[in-house]
Amino acid sequence: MRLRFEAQAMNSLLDTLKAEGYGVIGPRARDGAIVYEPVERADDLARGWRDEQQPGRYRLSPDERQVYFGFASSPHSWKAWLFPARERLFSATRNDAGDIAFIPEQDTAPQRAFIGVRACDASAIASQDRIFLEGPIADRSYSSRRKNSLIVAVECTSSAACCFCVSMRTGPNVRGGHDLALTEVSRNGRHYFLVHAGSNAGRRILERLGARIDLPNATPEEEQDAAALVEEAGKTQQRAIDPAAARVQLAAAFDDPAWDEIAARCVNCANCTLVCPTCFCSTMEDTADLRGNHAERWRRWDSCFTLDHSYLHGGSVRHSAKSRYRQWLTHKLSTWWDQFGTSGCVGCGRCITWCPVAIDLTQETNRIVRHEIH
Amino acid sequence: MRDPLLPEAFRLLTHVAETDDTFTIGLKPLSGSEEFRFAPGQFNMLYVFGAGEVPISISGDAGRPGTCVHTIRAAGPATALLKNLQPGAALGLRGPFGTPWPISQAEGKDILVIAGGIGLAPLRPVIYHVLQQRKRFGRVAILYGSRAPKDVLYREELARWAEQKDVQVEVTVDAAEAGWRGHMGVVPTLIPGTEVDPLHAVAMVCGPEIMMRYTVNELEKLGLSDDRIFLSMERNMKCAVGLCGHCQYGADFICSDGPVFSYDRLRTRFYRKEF
Amino acid sequence: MKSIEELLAGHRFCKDMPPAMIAALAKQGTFHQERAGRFAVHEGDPAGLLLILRGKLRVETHGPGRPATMLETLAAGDAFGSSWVFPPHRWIFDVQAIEDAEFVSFEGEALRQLVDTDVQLGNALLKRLVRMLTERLRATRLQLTDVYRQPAQ
Repeated sequence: MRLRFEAQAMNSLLDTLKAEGYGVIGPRARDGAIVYEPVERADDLARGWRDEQQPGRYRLSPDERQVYFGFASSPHSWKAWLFPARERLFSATRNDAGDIAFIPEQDTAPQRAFIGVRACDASAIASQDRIFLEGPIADRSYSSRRKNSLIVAVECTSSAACCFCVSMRTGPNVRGGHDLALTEVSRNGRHYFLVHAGSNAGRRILERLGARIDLPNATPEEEQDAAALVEEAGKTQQRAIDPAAARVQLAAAFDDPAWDEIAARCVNCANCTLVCPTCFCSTMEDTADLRGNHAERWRRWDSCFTLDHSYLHGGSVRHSAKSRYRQWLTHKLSTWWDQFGTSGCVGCGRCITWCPVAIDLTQETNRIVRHEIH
Repeated sequence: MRDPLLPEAFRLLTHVAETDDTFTIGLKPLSGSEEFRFAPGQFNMLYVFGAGEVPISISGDAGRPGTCVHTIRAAGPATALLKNLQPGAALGLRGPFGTPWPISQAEGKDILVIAGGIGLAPLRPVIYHVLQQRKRFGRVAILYGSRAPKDVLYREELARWAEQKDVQVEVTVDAAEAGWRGHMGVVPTLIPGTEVDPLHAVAMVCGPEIMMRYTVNELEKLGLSDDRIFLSMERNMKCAVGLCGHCQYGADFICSDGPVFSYDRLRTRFYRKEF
Repeated sequence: MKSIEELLAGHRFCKDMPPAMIAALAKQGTFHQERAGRFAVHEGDPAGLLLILRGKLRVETHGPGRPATMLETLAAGDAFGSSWVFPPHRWIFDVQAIEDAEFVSFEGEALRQLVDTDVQLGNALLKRLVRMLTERLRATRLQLTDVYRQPAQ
């Protein structure tokens, strides 16, 4: 049973979140892109913007619909807030006697509410949860950030051309992993949100919100209108892959000639891994100050597209561009299943949009799958 | 439980040169409290203050916990720094990590230890264990190859082991001057002449991948089954706990699903180039 | 003291050879012992085939003003010698015992006649020779690859 609030009450939702101690992170329009950054008021959100995404192309343009969430994916993903691009793992000191002491990081993450988490991104967060929380060790920093985040998902009511969450079975309906889920309806002069809670934390927010504004049950018509919009968003998707076939066929495709063809185009820029919401590779940077008695280790994002990634005994194991693209795609769509029990891809389409040479993961995958089946 | 990403401070107690580029260090925790324990085949991440960290196999005696022993080849910036550390110096250590050699599964069987170059270091703990529990195993053969006589590791120990009547030790080199009276030729050429029963033997192999591929072929020719051949694999490592993604070998993380794997688990991947 | 036939039957080179074939081959073989330091074979001498039974020998080549360059060692179970098959039918390396060695030796002339007259034995012999050479070539190439060198070397 969903509840409804009018779009002009968005500030009340933000105020409720803030009153509960959450710093709100949401989509803003800046520098020609949607970015996920701190927001204070409803006006900070990227209302009235829509995006046009194609392989190798991204544009924001004004949206006459004036909806709050009229865009699909952004070059940012929520992973930057849970698994930061750079963070310190420890400090170390060395005294005059030469003794070393290691100082762990103590701070806990502040509480944050992420508003505007798409269904694909909620799946991506769930995927990273498996990596960072459910493996043999739980990552301390990710745990702290994750425990202190509130996911306010927003279902997509339009798809971008590069989206393929339907075929990946991750959207456009929010399937889970949310504390709150919103669907925005702008139709026949009305503009409102339907909302339901997916957790106790979410329910508490709705209780508090209900004390500030009207929060009636949604009418059957409203439910129907919302569902229709989301369904329409799914129907308009132009791209698709079969995740089960990709899993099996990519595992068998090590020697497929398609890799050579892709390699001729891929420039190993690592954009795809940077925008991908599930990529988790990282590397360590060790530094010391000039006097040599204070050292730090920082973890930062890394990409399997770099030569350094597979460096061993004076050279890279994956020396050719072809071997690196093959590693990325095979991992994302095939070996990820063996490691984590799901596909590594959530169908957000970011890698297609942000590839400077317009390599389309769905096209390449489908080609290889067809080859291997024949 | 200690955060596996946070090193513990250790002190270097001993530093011995083995060859011109390889050295063995003995370490103890700075705090002096707990004994360092490990299983043969495992490795530690050794941290040089402010400079970097490297994965190094543990090459001491697992039956005598206490000092943590590593034999290291100076092959890059971090290991070159380790080589210059003097007794008394402090460093960081994380570990032990990784899957061990299947020694208890090998009880009752013949043991083939096959090592190339620095690969003898992660196998030395196996040799210690097997020789200390000699009656639990069948025939034992140690086959070891180095680049040249001056690169042979653990020379005195090899000579001692060779003296034991119930152990076969064969040492070979790729190249030698006229004075060398041992074998010359690559390690796999020693395999046909071993005295183990291939139907009841377990082989544990460590060395450069080219050498391991050839070794596996020879072991198969001898008659060992794929599930009785164990290899220690290597890839670039950063976190050692399966989170950074660097050491992936297909679906396996070498740091946590390995480094020791049975050949039947590796077979479909082992011959792939740039994998 | 074992017969040549018995010695061959226990040697890796003759594995899976039918007994009648081993007997025929044995007729051409002679048993040799060389003390450490003595040469089993000299470069330039008429080539044949050696089947090593015991001890250790080294295959080497020499040049003026330098000590002999060792190429590989031979031990029990090894076979050595393929130059007897084609002209000039001469050994191309020296073989010197490092430890007291025992081996069965076959003269090249006798083997060439055997190969021409006994087709089945000739076939078996040459197949084993090709296998020996393939294995030796693989081992030699791995030696050349110098897998233990430092990346900078």
